[in-house]
Amino acid sequence: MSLASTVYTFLGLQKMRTPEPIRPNPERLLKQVQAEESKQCGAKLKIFLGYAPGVGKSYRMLDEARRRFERGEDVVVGAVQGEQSTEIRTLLEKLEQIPSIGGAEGQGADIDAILRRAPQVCVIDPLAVLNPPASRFAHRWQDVQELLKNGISVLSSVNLLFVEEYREKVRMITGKDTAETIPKSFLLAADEIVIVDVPTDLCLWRQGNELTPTGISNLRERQLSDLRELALLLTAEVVDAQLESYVHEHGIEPVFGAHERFLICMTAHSDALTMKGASATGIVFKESSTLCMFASRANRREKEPRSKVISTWQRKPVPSPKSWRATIQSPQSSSLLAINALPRSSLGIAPIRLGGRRSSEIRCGA
Amino acid sequence: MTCGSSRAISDMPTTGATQRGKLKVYLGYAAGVGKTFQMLADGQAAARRGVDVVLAYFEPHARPDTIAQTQGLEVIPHRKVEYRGASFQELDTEAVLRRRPSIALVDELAHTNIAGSARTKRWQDVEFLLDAGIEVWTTINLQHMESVNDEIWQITGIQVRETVPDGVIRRAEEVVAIDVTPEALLNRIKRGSIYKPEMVEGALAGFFKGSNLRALRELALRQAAHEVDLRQTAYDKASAFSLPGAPESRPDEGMDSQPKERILIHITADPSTAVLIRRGHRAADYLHADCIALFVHETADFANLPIEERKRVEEHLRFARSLQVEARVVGGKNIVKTVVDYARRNQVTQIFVTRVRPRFLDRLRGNYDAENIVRLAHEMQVTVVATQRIKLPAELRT
Repeated sequence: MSLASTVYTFLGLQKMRTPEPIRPNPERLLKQVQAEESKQCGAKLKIFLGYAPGVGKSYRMLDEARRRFERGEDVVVGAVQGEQSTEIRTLLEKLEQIPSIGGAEGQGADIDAILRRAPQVCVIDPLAVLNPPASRFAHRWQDVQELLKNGISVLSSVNLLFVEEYREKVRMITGKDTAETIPKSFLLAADEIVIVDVPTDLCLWRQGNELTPTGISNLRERQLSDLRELALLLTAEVVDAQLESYVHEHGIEPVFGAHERFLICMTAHSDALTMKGASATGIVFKESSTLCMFASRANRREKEPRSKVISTWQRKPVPSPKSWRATIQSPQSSSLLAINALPRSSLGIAPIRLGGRRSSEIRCGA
Repeated sequence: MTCGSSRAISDMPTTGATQRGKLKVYLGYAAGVGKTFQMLADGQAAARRGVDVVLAYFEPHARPDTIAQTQGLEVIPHRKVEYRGASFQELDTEAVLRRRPSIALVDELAHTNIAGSARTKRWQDVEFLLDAGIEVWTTINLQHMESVNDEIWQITGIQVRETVPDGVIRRAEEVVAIDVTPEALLNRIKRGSIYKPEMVEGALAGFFKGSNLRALRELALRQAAHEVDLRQTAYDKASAFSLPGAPESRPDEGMDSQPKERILIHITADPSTAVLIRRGHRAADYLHADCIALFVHETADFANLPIEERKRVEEHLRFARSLQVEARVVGGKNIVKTVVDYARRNQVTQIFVTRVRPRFLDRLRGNYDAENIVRLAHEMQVTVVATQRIKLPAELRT
């Protein structure tokens, strides 16, 4: 709730203490180093995400490849989908293709040939493919990593159905399981991701009129709509991660507003269930993420009630939110107010949600 | 697109002879993401399938790529208007009406018509065409959507005044997100294909800052997902009526199993009330909750209210009603007590309040309305809406 702060108990007008400087997160540092490395060799991965067959991922991607080629970039097509509409065939005629290899079991991109050819940009369509047995790598996304490592930028397309972390959700919606998947971390690590969004009825129309029978997903409009929402939210999540790293790399002030972030502040006397329920009613906003903080004063012995509150919090599921991303931190300080100030800087949390059964718990801060 | 069922959120009464036309909105997060291009491409595809499509309005100074995309589409000539010595081009609504196509493509929904036009806003022209039974496809940038106005202000610091009311977008059958990566958008700007060279520098430093674009993009994607979700709910309700006993099961049923939320917005004369109403309305929208707006004054009419304050309160009440929020005025000596009592009587679960600067005496006594409501309303969630942009204190900046 970027504009709103839900407040259960008031702070009064005490002055906020300056917290100690925050140590950089090692994971983040590593990510930064990796990001810088991949930038040095200039190779970028761009992914076109779609929610179902027929949204037009391949077309968008090949059209971008064509535009880049016409602007003078050295573009080749390393792998293409088996079935092609006339529009896609027209685009492919304008581009250089490297023939794929493989026999009856399936087709694989000819990685060695692409590396020898060493273009600036290579199109790999689609991403989630199991390579034929004799290939260098088992999965196509590993091929893509190899190309990137060798300084070749890659354009690739993914269907939401093939993202590992969404496998279960997708199965619940469509009743189908997919064999080959790619890890979501691969999407998060991509330099650019773009969603190809079309209305569900257009997608259905294309499936019925432009795709060969193997490309038809047999999904009803309602199921497609569920997938569409998932795909949009997944992209938003990736964009949020990119925003965070952008802000970090450029050392600029965090931007608030796009993503709701809650801070739930609990003490040893908090009623974890009530607070969880209350925040759940707020959390449906734009799939907000929550930081649950367990505030305790260093000079007090409250280990036992504290672990009780935390275990209650962790055990009880809250039904409402679609993605409940709550992390628990237990900073220790003599001042609850100082603790409240912490996550603002480290996570860009805007609002502060305070809670406690007795208001005195929070108020006796600084 | 001739297939697909009608899934408007609030079904328009179909008492008239003509059925209202469908509305399809192409939503982008900034200028240059390719909304118009996509609309034209879809229009071309529809025309190829034999649908009667016309291009009713199109920015005359568009990008060459976009202009190429209009080739072969039937164009309705723009209405040329002379105003203060300059010549302007506007949508010729009447000409479109005479032509009666199946689908009319109208660019830039948030546009304000030149003075002297039959209707002040383009969205009113579009409503006019829809009422006449013509399907309209149109484009809009996120910042022109009423409901995200405050978020845009939070992100960019820019207060956008030209907004299209939520109801217009809500009645659209389809909202399509037009996505492009900020990197590609910035390249387009640097190549000069969106702004004239002399404007590029300013655009890159201002609205098109990298961090702004990423935040706006995220907001647009989440908004689009929300629009999809809203239409699903409406669709499910509709199909539950037509197919008794066989509603389609959904993977996450969590929200329906929860008790119904009721939100109360406490209206005051304070200017921050507009933000509050938008916020409360948006929360109600997400939670599928009931929403009431309440103004409390000593007497149930505001006869003894200073004229300035009265005007503002009336404006706020009107604004609430325009968002389909039930707005009421109640008399009561003690404002805080009256609000909480009213909320209790009406089974309200959440109260939205704003920080009103109290009168001098109340401030001395430490009497803040928002705090007192929090103290009194034990069983309700109280949300105090922020009225300032979030800024990090200097010592916490990285």
